[in-house]
Amino acid sequence: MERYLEVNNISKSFPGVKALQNISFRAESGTVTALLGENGAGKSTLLKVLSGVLKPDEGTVVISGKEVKVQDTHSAFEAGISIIYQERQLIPMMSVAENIFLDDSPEKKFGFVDRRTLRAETQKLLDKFQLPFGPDELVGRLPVAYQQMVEIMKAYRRDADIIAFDEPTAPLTEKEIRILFSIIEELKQQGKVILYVSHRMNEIFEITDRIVIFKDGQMVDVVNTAETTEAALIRAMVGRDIGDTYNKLDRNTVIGEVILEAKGLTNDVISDVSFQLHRGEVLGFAGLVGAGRTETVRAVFGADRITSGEILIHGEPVKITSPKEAIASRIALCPEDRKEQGLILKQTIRSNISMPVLSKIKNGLLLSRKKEKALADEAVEKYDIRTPSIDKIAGELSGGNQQKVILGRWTSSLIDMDILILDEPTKGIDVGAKSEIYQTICNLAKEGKGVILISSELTEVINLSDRIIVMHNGHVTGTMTREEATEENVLALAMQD
Amino acid sequence: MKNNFFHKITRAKSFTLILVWIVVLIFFRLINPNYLSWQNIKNILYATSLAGTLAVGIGCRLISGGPDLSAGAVGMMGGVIVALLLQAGWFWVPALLAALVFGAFAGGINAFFKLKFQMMPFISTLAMASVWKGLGYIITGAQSVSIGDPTFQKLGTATLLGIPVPFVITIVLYVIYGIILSRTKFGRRVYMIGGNRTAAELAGINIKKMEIILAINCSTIAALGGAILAGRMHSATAGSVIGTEFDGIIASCLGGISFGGGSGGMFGAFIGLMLLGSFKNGLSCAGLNTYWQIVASGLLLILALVVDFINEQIRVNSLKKKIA
Repeated sequence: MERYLEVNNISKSFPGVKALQNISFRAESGTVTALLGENGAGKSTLLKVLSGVLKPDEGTVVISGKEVKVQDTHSAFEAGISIIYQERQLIPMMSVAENIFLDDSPEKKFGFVDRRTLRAETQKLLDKFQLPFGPDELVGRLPVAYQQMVEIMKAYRRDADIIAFDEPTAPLTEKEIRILFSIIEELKQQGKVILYVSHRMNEIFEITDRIVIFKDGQMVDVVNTAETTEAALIRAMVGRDIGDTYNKLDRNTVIGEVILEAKGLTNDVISDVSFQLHRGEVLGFAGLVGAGRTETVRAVFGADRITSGEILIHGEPVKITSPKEAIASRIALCPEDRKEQGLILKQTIRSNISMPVLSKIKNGLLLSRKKEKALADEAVEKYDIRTPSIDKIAGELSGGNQQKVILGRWTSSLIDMDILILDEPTKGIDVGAKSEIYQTICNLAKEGKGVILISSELTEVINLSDRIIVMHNGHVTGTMTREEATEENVLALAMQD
Repeated sequence: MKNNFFHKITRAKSFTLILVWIVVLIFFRLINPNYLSWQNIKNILYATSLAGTLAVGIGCRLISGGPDLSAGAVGMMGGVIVALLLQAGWFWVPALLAALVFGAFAGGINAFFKLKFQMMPFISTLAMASVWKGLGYIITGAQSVSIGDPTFQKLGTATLLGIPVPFVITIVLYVIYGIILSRTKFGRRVYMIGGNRTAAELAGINIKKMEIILAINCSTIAALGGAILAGRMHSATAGSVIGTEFDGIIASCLGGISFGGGSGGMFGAFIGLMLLGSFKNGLSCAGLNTYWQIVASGLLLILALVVDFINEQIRVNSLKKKIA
């Protein structure tokens, strides 16, 4: 019987976001189908639906003529779907062999694990993949690229009919990529259905047969790889109306002197990153996930170490080795992950806002509830934070309001920051709150602050920033003004190999 | 307005706890009329003062996200050191100070392991507890070290307005630390670290410094507690105090300080302490064997955790409904 995967009208919404809308395509046995699109276009959501992590609101998945109900990860496994994620699902304290077999170890009588068979089978796989470590090595000690290979071996051994790779080559070296591709070729020969998510154009042209293109949760096109060009793909990925959200913004027009300069920042993730930020400017950082944007701003903020490079503030070289010193140099960071790094979720709005200015709301030794209330009221007023009370727990607010609390923390009348770094400020926020945050960013620039904006949404970063720095693989690959930037040329710089 | 006030009180986490405490008091009073006699109340106050003293330091560390299992052993060493120095003819003030300096040192070691080698405090403080316990037996030769100094004995046995001095000290500590935690910059930072370490660091807080202070604070208070107990007993032994840290932890958790850090406070912890003390004393007033007290401590904590879990579920569910 012919093997195939058919996705019919799959839709999935999250509060405020349509992550997938009516996705339908068919992937055939013995072919590699690429899923292509910008960050947030819906590729990962689709993989999560296939693997049972997320339940679709509508639609069906059909495998080889049979409709499968993917209820949870276990039933996906039963249905023969195996997905190799970017985030590796390995147990670091267990050996390579144990990780590859996990729940499925060969057994002897009385349920004892047959260690000899386990190791021999693993060794066979290791030989096939030409890997230089043994079955007993602890996974946690392996370099990231090899961990990725262990993950791939795991799926390979399960002999799943449908194998999806989510950006498998990101951590791999050229030699390892060659090995991986020969394995994928072999899987093709065996008649497997292969899905392949990657941002690397040359890979897509090398190993895929068909390409499904995603944009804003919709499927915009399905093409045969042999019949398309890189330029045509990029056009299909970005072609959309921007609407007039951005045209309505009241922007800052007066750009002043350089207030922050980074020269050759280098550590184990970024290399030789240099840029200048001016007073009143919004400086955007564009790039794919993992390009080194977050690491760059964390280095500026003293949250990550730099091995070489220099930071100048108002032309003076400064040594910043901790967030505390960065704040003293009037730099604030609104981090990428609001819940994990930004807010104290158990605490009230009031105390989340007053965090960095406790010294300024004291009466003698004790904190003044009155001054703190005034401070929190100011932020609620300024950003229109929708809450019945400033004593509400931050964890109970919506994403947009949580982001406003963090903005309120760093922009109150008691704290005077020159430089504000906003890392993915609109991630997971609904459309209405997004445009409020856009205007806030323009207002901060108007107040004469320098704003660094990281966003994975291309339209957002291009339309909000005065200048855009594009990063790829830890390097700056280009700088352009808003007028020069188009989604096509930014994406080309972000995806170059 | 009045309604609002009433609403606020009933919503407070400690409110249920106070109700439970009152029920416990009434229950044991019905069983044994002597339960609420002044003499027995004094027994309760004496019995809870040591655990209470330790609980103040332990509670601060728990809120910041790190348990301390060495407090009991450090307290024991505090008592032993005071007793030995008094025997050697020291005046009681420097002897007590020496015990406190030892406490600070022991806390510094705990902080050092955490910061330098990233050891989990649960394990490293457990290991240090064993080290101090063993050393305690070695330096005392497993003998009781008696204290003859009458002033120092008074520290443990005297009363102030009829209330035992050790308990007065405990209350004073709860009040001081209650104010520090709820009303000062330092206190706010303790909650920040326990609530979200990364966010606290990114907001410019020197986490290492805070952790050192909290570890030293916990052990110093523990040494004070041990010294006072030695005064009350007129002697110190290597077997004393150890184990009381668990009562301190149980009382704190009963009172709403979560083991994961970031929540709870000294008022709740104090009620938790009184509830635990009253319950344990009540059991013996009811004529039960004292070993039942140990069983009861554990069961009370389990009960508190179950109630906490159910409360959290209700909260999460109502939040889900609100969002959906």
